[in-house]
Amino acid sequence: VGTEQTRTGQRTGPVRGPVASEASGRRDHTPPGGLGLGGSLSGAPREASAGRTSDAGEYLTAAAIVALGGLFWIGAADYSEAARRWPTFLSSVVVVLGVVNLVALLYRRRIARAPAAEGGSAADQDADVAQPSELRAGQRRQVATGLFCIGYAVLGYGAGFLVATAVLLPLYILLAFRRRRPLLAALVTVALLLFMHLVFGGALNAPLHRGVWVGVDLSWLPF
Amino acid sequence: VNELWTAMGFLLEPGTLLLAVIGFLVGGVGGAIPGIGAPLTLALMVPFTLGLEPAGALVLLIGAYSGSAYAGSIPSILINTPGTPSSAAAALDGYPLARQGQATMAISVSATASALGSLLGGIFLILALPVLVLVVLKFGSVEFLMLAVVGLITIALASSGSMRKGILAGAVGALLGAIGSTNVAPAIRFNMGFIELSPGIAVVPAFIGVFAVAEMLRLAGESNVPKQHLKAAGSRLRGVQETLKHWVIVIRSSIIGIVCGIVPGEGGTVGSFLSYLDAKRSSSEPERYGQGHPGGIVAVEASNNSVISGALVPTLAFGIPGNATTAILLGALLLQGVQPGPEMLGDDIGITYVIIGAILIGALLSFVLGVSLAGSFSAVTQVPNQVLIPAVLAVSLTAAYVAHFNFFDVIVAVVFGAIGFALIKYGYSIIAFVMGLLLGPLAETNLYRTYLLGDGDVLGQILGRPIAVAIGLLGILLLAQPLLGPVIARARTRRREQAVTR
Repeated sequence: VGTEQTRTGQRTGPVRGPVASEASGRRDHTPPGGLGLGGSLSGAPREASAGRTSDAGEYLTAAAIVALGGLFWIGAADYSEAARRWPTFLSSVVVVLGVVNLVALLYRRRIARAPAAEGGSAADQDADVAQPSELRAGQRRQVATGLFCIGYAVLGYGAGFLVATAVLLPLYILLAFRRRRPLLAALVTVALLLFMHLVFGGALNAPLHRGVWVGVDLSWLPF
Repeated sequence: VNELWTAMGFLLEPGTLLLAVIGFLVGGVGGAIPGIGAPLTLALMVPFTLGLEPAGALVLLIGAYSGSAYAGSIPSILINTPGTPSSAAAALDGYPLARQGQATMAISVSATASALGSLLGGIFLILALPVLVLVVLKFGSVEFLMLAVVGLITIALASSGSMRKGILAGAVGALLGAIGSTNVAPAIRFNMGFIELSPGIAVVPAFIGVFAVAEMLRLAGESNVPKQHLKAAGSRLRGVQETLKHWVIVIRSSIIGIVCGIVPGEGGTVGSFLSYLDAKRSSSEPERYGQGHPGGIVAVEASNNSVISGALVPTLAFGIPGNATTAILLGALLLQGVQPGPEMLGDDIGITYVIIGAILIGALLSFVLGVSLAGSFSAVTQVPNQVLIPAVLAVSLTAAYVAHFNFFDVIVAVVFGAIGFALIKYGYSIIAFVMGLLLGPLAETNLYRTYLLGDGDVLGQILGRPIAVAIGLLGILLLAQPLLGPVIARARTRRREQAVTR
C-alpha cells in the first residue's frame, strides 16, 4: 500500500501496485490491476492503467449518490408510516453523508490544486501525461465492453442468448482489441456456443431464452 | 450407537461412495458456473433422487452441496467472478494471488480450507446438535435484529481505506435493498413500475453484476498484463501448508460459519464476509489482505463450508431451513417421507448420522479432488483478456437469466455492473455495498418486529434479552477494536521501549 496521490486529487485512497510502490520509494511485484476486489475492500481505486480517474466522473458519482438518496427520500413519502420509516432513515443517511463526501472531494481538490498552481513538480506532470494512447485504448475497450453488455442484453432479449453470443462474441474479439484474431474469434465463439447449449440446455436442463423477435429452433441438433 | 455403526457401514459401501462422488462433481460444475450455485443445482438434481433410498438421496444431495460450496470459489479465484454468492469473498485475496501467478496455490488453499471447514462443521454437528437446538429455540426478532446490526457494524470496519465512503456504500446498498415488498407493511416500494422488482432486487443477478460485469469492465481498461506461465502458477503443497499455518483462522472462521448457518436467513454469504473481516482484523499484517493473503481465502472457505453443518441444525431440528439450499434439502427429505423435527434426534437419528457422514465424505472429496485438480484449474489464468472478457460476460449474463428464468435479471446484472464499476473506480467499498444489500431488509424486518413487541421501546426489548445483549456487546467490541487497537499497540511499544532503556 502506497501513498495517496494528492496533486491531482484523482485518487482518494491508498494506491497499490507499481504506481504506489514508486510513489513510496520502493518497488514491489504486484501486477498491475491484479488486485481483484482487494482495492475496493479498502476503498482504494485501481491503479492508473485501469483508466485514469477523472475528476468529473468522481464528482458525478458522488452527486449521483446524493441524488439517489434524495429521490428515495421523496419517494418514501408516498408510503404508509411503517413502510416509509426505514427508507426515510436510510435515505437521510445517504443524503447527509453524500453531501459530506462531495464537500470533502471538492475541498481535497482545492488543497491539491494549490501546489500545482505554484508550479508543481515536473515529475508529477510527466506521470500524468504518461502513455496517453494506452489510456485512450483502455477507455475505448471499456466503452466497447459496456456496449457488449448492453448489446448482449438487447440481442439476448430479442433473438436469444445463443444468437447474441454468435453475433457479439466474434465482433468484440475482432474489434475491441488492436490485435485482430479471426481464427481465435471463430474458435472461441463455437466453443462457447457448444458450452452454453450443452451445459445450460443439456446437463442442467435449464432452457435458455430464445428471444421474442425470432425463435431459434435447435431441436435438430443431435444432442 | 447401533445407528452410528449402521450409518458408517452404509456410508462406506462402494455404491454410496460413488453417489457422493457423482453428487460432488455435479455440484462442483453447478457451483463453478457463475449464477448457478447450490440451490439451482440441487433443485435440478432432486427429481433424480426419487428412485433412491432416503439415505442414498441425501448422500447424493449433500455431496452436491459440498461440491458446490467448494467449486464456487474456483471462478472467484481465477476470474474474479463468484460461482455462488457465498464464495464472492474468496475473490478478495484469491484473484490477486492468481494474478501474481499463484493460482494453483490459491485453489489448493481453497480446497484444504474447504475440507477443514466441512470437517470441523461435521464434528461440531455430532457434538453440539442437542445443545444448539435449545439455543436456536431462544432466537427471536430481537436477536435477529442484533445480528443484523453487528453485520452492519462490520461495514464500517470493512472500509479501512475511507470509512466515509464505506459507510456511504453500505447505506446505498441497504437503500437498494429496500426496493420491493416488505414484511412490515402491505406495500411494494420503489419498484418504478417494474413488476419484476416487486419481490425486491434478486441477489444472484445483483452479485453477478457487481462482481463479474464490473470486474470485466475494469479489466478491459487495463493495459496488456503479461500472463504468468503455468510453471509459475504456485504449488499445491504450499497451499496445504499455508492453510495449516493459518489453523487459528480455520477454527475461528468455521465457528462463524456454523453460527451464521444456524441462524435462518444469515446464511453463507454473510458468514464468509464476516469471517474474512475477522481474519483481517485479527491478523498481524492486515494491510496484506486484499492483495493476495492466503489467510483471506482460508477464512472464506472454512466458513463457507462449515455453514453447511450450521444450516442443517434448524433444518433437521425444526424443519426451518437455514438457507435456500437447505430448503431444497428439506423438500427432498419430505419427498422421501422423512419428517424433520425432534425425531431426527430420536427415532430417525440414523438419517442424521448419514447426513453428518455425507458432510465428512464431502470434506474428503474437497481435499482430494480439489488439491489434485488445482493445477488444471489454474490454466484458466492463461486465457487472454480478448477472450476472457466476452466469454465471462456472455456466461455471466446468461447465468443471471438462468437463476430465475427471468430476463429482467439480465438488466439487473448490467445495471449493477455499472454501479459496481463506478464504486470500484472511485474507491467505494464493494463489500460494504454488498453487506448493506444483504442485511438491510433483515434489519428492517426485525427492527419493526422488535418495535411492535416493545410497544416502541426497542432498547428495553434488547436489554431484556441476554442473547441480544451478548450479540450487542460483540458488536461494540468489534467497533472498538480498530479504535482501541492502535492505542493499545502504542502503549505496548512504549512499555517495551522503556524495558529496553532500563
